[in-house]
Amino acid sequence: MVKTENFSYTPAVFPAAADTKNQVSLRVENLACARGLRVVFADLNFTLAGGGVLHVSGANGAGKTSLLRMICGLLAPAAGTISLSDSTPLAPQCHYHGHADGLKNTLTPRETIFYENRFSTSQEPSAAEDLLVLAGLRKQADQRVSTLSAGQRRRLALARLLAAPRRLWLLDEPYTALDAAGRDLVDTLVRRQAEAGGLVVLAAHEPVPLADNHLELDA
Amino acid sequence: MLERLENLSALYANPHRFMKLAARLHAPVWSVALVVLALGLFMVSGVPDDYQQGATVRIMFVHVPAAWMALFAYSFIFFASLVAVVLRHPLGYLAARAAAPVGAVFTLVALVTGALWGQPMWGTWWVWDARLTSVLVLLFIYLGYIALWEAIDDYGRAARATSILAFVGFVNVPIVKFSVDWWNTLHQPASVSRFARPALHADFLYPLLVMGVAFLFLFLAITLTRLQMEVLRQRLRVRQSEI
Amino acid sequence: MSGRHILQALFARELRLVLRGGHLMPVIAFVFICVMLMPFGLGPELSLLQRLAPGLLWVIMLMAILLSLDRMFQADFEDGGLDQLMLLPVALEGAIMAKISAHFVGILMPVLATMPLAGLLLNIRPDTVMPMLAALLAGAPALVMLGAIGAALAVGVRRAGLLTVLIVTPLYVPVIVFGAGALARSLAAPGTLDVAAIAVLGLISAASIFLAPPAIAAALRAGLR
Repeated sequence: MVKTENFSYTPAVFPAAADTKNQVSLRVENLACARGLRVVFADLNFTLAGGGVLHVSGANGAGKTSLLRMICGLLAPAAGTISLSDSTPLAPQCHYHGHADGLKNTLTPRETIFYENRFSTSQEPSAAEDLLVLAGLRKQADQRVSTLSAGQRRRLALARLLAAPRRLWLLDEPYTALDAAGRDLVDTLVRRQAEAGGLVVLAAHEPVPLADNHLELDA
Repeated sequence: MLERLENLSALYANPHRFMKLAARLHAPVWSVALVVLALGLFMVSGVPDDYQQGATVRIMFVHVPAAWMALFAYSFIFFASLVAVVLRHPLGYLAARAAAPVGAVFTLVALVTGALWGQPMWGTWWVWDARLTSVLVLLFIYLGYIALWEAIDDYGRAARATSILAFVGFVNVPIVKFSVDWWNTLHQPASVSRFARPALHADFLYPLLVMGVAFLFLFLAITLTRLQMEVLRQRLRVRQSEI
Repeated sequence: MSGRHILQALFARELRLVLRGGHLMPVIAFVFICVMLMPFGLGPELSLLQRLAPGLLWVIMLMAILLSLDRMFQADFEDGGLDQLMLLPVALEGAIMAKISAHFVGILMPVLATMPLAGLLLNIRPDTVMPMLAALLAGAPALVMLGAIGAALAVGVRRAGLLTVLIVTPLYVPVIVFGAGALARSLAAPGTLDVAAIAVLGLISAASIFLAPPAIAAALRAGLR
């Protein structure tokens, strides 16, 4: 059972959504994706304003994962540009939460959060303990990640999002393998990120009520 | 926009202009290669036996040009990869890929003829002579490059990875040559007889040069044919992916 | 925190992973298995082994490094750690150096430390132990950096291990030439150090420390899908 009510961690505040002068938005222009020689999608245009949550849906193979990976620079676009309105480099401001979580089996959740905390350029030392509570992993904090269940792993990977605050979150199927409480955790995190003025692009098959933008990719 | 994208994939699959040019060049390049090769072989047959090496000296007319081509082909791969990376022109990747097995075969020919020459001269098939050893290392560089192309399924990723290897290998070749020369002097103070190179008599020099030109055109002809094949294979891929 | 702190944290994490991964023991075991096979293959004659020992140890060291590098980027590629590495707010080259340094400290230093013992089993002359260690230490960074290029190029490939060996071995030729050469001279004139050869080894190592990271970074980027 995940308890989030005692949660005392405040994520870094990005230039707030309300502050229109400082608002940093994500702009995608004429984006095209090719896999091998096949064009997956082309001519994709959208702008996501600071504090916005974009829900990307589409059938398997429509290019959801590719879009997310392109935004954070893990995949080269076949054409088009992706930029932040303040022209800062995108990749180091992105969190990518995908199918392969990058968690290390021989570390413990506590160590995982400890290192993730240090992988951040922000001055704010975040409370590792709070993040473990948030992920519902206090009891498992000192056992190896390899012994966690699939859902517990997903929650640890989610906790990592807060360990190092970054402006743009790219969440690929974040609800996979999670129970109701886990899905609530995703929603809580996304809401906090949006309230702090950050950006979230979220790929999911199910409807996402808290998203204020929606993009449907055709297969 | 979509049009531009089509142009992009067209460049991958359908370099029309190149294919037209290749079709026009194909016959002349092959003709030159075969005519010069015939001329070279005729000249070699007229070369007098060496007073020390006897008839075996004729192996040199295959061995030396093959070794030249081994190095030339690798440089070709390097520059083709460089063009591909710098100008973002996929034809360069295809050309590098097409040239690699040709270069590897020339390298192998150089090694085998070296061994054939060495048997009567040194009394053994293989001597760890500096030149032969460097060429052996070059063969492994070729094999690694070809193996990397074969190992990666995705064409784009294979092209990028192999171009990096081509650059690294190109830097490596002279360092290998230098180190093997040093190693050779360490272990075998220059008493081993090698191919007499500098004091080459004109009777030997001209046939050698003609054979060199013949091998160069042979390399170009085979690589051109293979490159046409590579382009066709890419076209086939596109057709298959469209179905 | 600055980029340096991130790299320090990454180094610490990688070192911990290397130490916990259980990669060290098999590599050391490999070294001694090779040493054990030598008398079987060459005969137990001590004077022969003594003459061959420095060269054999170089070859064994080289193979051990190649074997240990095999999984360096492959594990990260498979579990998605490579994505996280690319998104760190530091240059990828720096992150790669942190990883390689952890590998060097966690695996290669211990393996190097066992070399005198391996030499003992091959009846190495005591006065060649120090020159051997000096040469190995000067050449090891080059072996690791060049090996990492091969490991990065073969990332995501089935049976990457064999491919890495094929790609990397030609790159290792200059290192082993000067490495074993340094030992040959020390063997000829006991108690001396072949400073020139060791300097060349150091030069190759320094050059590869500067030139390899961009190649490794490019290879890893090329391997993304």
